[in-house]
Amino acid sequence: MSFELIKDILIATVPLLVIFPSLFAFTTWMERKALARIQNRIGPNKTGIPCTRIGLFGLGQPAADGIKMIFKEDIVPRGADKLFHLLAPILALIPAMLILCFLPLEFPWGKFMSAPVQAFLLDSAVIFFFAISGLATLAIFMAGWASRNKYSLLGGMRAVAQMVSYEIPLVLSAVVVVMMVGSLNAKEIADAQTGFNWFVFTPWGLAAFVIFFIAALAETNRSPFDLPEAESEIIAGYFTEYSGFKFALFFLGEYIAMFAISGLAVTLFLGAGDGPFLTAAPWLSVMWFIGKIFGLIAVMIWLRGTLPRLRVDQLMAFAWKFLLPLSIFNILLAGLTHFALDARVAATSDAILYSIHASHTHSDAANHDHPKPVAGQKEAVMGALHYTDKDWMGAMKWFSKAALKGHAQSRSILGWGFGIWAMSLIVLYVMAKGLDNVSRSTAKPREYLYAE
Amino acid sequence: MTQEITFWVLAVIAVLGALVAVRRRNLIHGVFALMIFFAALSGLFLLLLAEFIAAVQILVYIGAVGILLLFAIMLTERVTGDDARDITSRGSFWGWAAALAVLVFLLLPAIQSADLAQTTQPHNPSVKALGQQMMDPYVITLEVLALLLTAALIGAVAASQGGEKTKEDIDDA
Amino acid sequence: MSTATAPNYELLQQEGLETSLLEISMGPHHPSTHGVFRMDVKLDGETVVELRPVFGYLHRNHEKLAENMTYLSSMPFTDRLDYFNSMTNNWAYALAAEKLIEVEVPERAEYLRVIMAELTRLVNHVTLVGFFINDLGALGTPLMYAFREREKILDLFEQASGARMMCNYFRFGGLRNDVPEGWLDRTRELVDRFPAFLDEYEQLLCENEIILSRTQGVGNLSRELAINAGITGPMLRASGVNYDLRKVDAYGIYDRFKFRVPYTDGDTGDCYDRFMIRMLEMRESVAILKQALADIPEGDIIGKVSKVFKPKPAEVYGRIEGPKGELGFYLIADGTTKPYRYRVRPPSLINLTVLRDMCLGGKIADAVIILGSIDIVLGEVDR
Repeated sequence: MSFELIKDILIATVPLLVIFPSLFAFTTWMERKALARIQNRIGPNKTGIPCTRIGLFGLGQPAADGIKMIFKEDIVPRGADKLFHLLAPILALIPAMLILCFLPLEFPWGKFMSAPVQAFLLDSAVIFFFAISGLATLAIFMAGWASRNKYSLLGGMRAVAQMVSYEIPLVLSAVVVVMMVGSLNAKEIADAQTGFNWFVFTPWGLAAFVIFFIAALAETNRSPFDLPEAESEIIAGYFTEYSGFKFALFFLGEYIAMFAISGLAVTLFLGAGDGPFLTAAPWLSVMWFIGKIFGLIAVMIWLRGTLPRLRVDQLMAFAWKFLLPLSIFNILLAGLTHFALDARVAATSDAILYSIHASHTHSDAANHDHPKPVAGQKEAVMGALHYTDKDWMGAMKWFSKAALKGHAQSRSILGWGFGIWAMSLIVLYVMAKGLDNVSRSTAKPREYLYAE
Repeated sequence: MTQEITFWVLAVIAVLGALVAVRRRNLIHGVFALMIFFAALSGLFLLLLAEFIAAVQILVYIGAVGILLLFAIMLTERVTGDDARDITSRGSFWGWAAALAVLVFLLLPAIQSADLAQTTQPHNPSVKALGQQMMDPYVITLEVLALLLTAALIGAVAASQGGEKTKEDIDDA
Repeated sequence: MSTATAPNYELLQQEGLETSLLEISMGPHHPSTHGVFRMDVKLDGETVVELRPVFGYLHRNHEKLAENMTYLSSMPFTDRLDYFNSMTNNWAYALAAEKLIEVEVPERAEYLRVIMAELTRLVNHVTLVGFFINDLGALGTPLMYAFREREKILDLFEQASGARMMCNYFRFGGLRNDVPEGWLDRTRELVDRFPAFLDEYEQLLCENEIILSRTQGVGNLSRELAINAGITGPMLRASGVNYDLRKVDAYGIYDRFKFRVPYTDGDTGDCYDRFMIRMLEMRESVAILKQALADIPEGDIIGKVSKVFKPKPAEVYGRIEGPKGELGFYLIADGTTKPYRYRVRPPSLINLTVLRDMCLGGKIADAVIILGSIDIVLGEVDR
C-alpha cells in the first residue's frame, strides 16, 4: 500500500465529495427561491449572516437547515428494523456519490498534478453508471420496508416499480449516443462532441435526450413522477418515518442523484464540458459542465412548481407504452438515418477529395496548364476534411460556405443532410403522436350546459 | 500487496454474505445479504480487470435478480419479513455433506489443475472486443438466446393471462 | 383509467391466488383529508377494495349548545360550522329565524347579503380548486394563486365585519352594521379584476394534460345515485341535475339578478365535472356581484327586532344555496327565548355519504382527489 495510491485516490475523490455537496446546499436554496417565485411568495430571505440583520437573499438557509437537521431528534419507530432503518439513508447516498466519479469532469488543477483527477476512466463507464444508479432503488425499498409503516411500504413498492420501469427507456435512449460514438467511455463520448457536435442537435439525439430527461425525472422521483413520496396520498412515502439527520441524508442522496443523472445527460447529449471560449480558457470546461447541470436542474425545479402528479397506472403506461417503444424506434431510426447519411456524405466528400487530388496530379503532369478551379472548392475540401474528423458542425459550416459559392457537390451534401434530418424529425414526431394516441385514454376538455 | 488485501477483504465479505443469505430467517435480510455477496463478487471481477463483467454483475444480479426476489417476497403474505419459525435442522447433515462433496470432488481438483502462477498477467478484454466477439462469431448463439428469452417472456405473459380466462369461463358457465 | 373493480377482486380470491390486503387508516392526521377525517381503506396493491369514512373527531355539540341559548346567541356559532363560509352560514340561520319572527329586511341589507354570499362563494370555490389541484400533487402553486385572491376578499370581510373568517355579520332582520365608507368601491374594483384572474386560472388548469387524465373518469357519480343520496350544490349539478336554490327558492332578492346555472348532461359526473362546475360558477357569481353592486341603494341596515324575543310555537326551515350545497337550519320554537330543537342540514356531511361508492375500484390516489372534489369542511361534517 503506497502513499502515492492514497494520494491519487484523495485527489480523485475529494473534489467530488466537496464540490457536489456544496452545490447541493446551493441547489436547495435555489429550489426554494424559485418555487417561491413561481408561487407568488418571497422564499427564504431572512437567514443570512447570524446575529445581524443582513439577509443575503436567504443564502444562509441551507446552513440553518443543516444545523436544524443535525440537532433534531432521531426517531426510530418501535416496530422498525433498526439496522435497515439506519442503513437505508447511507445506502441511498453511496451509489449517488459513486456515480459522480464516472462523469468526465476535468478540474482545472488537473494539469498541476501527476495523478488523473477523474476518478474512474473506465472503459464501460456508461454501463457502470446505470448499474450503480440502480442501487438507489434498493435503498428506497429498504427504507420503506424497514420503517414498518404502511405508507412507507407503499412508497417503497411504488419506487421499486417506477425505477425499474423507467430504467429501461433511460438506458435505451443512451444507447443511441453509445452507438454513434462507438464507445462506452464517458471521456470518449465527451471528446466526440467537442466543437458543438452535441448529440442533442441531431434529430435522434434530440428525441433520445427528451426521453432520457423524462426517464431521469422518474428515476430521481421528481415531479410529475414523485409518486414514491406523494405527499397528498402517502404522506412522505418511504421516508415518512425518518427524521433528523437520516432524513437529511435521504435529501442529500436525492439531490446528488439529480446532479449525477443530469451530469450523465450533459455528458451524453449536451456536449459535456464543451462550450465557447474554451481555446482561450480551458478551465471554463468544468464551469460549462456544471452550468449545464444547473440548467437541467432549473428545468426540474420549474416542472416541480407547475405540474400535478401522475397516477400509478398512468405512470406505468407512459413508461411501457410510450417511452419504451419510442426509444426502441429511435435507436432503429438513428441507425438507419445515420448510416444512410454517413454513406452518402462520405462518398461525396471522398469524391471531392479525390477530384482535388486528381486535379493536382493532373496539373503536375501537364505543367503550367492549370484547370480552372471550381468555385468554393477550397471550402468543400475543408468540409470534407472536417467530416472525416467526425466534426459534423465544422463540416456543415464549410460545406455551407462552399454551397453559397455555388459548389454543386456541397449543395447535394447539405440537401441530403437536411433532407434526412427533417425527415427523421417528422417521422419521430409522427411516431410520438401515434404512440400517444394509442397509449393514452382520450381526455379532453368538455362543454357544459347552462340554465337561465 | 494492495491487490491481495483487497482480494481477501472481498472474499471474506462474499463468504459472509452468502452464509447470512442462507442462514437468515428473515427473507428480506436474506435477499440483502445475497446482494452484498453479489456486490463483493463484482468487486472480485474488477480486481481481475474484467470491468464489463463486473458492471453486468451489478446490473443483472443486484439490479434485476435482487429486485425480482424482492418483488416475489412482496407478493407473498410475509411482506413484513417476520418469521418466527426456525429453519428446520432436519436433514442439514446431508446438506453439509453434499456441499463438502462438491468442494472435495469438483472444486478442489479444479483449483489444483489450474495453473495459478500464470494468472499474474491478467488479460484485459475491452468492451469493444467483447461486443465484436458477440456480434461476429457468436451472433447465432446470441440471437437464439434472445429468441429463447423472448419466447419465455411471452409464455409467462400467456400463462398468467390464460389462467384467468379459463376461470372466467368457468364462472360464466 | 382504472378498470379494476371489486368483483374482479373477488374473482381473484376464488382462484386461490389471494393476495393479502393492505389495510390503511388514512387520517385523522393526513395531509389530504382536509381536517380530522379518517378513511379506513383496504388496498389490493394500489386499488381500493373497501373504504369506510370515519368522522366525528371535530364534534362540538353545536346543535345541543344552540338549544340552550337564545336565538341570537347561536349566530356566532354558525360561523364555526363551515369556517370558510361564515357569511352564508349566518344567512341560512337568519333566514330560518326570520320566518319565526316575521321581520322586514331593509333593501340595502338584502343587497349586502347577496354581495357577501357571492363573495363567500368565490372564496369557497377558489380555495376548493386550489386544494383540489394540491391533492392532485401540484406543489402548492395553484393553491397559492387561489389564496392570493382569497386574501383580497377576506380583507373586504375584515373591513366590513371586523373578522376575516368568523364574521358574525348577519342579524335577524338585516346586518350587524353598515359597510364602511369606500367599501363598495373597493369591492367593485375587486369584482372588476376577478375575471382576469379566472381567465388565468382556467388557462393554466382546465386544459392541463395531467389534470385532464387524472380527473376524467374518476369518481363517477350517476344522476340517480346523486338524487337518491340527497346530494346538493355543485356536486349535484356536476351529476347532471339542474337544481339551484337561488333559482328554485329565489330567497332574498335573487329573483332580481340575471345569472345562469352551469350543469352537465349527466353522462360522467366525475371529478373533472365537479371541478369545472365550480370554475364556471365563479363567473356567474361575478355577474351577480356586478349587478348587485350597481343597484345597491342607500338606507337602513337592519329592521326593528329586539335582541331577545319569544316567538310563537312553530316549526320553520330556512335554506340557502351555500357554496357547498343546500345549507338548512330547522328550528322548533316552543314559545321561550330558546329554540326547542335546532338542527343543521350540513351539505358537507350529506355529500360525503357517497364517498365509498365513488372510490371503490379506483386507486388510492383517486380516493384522495375524490374526497377533494366533494368539498368538505370538517367543522360542518361533525358539528
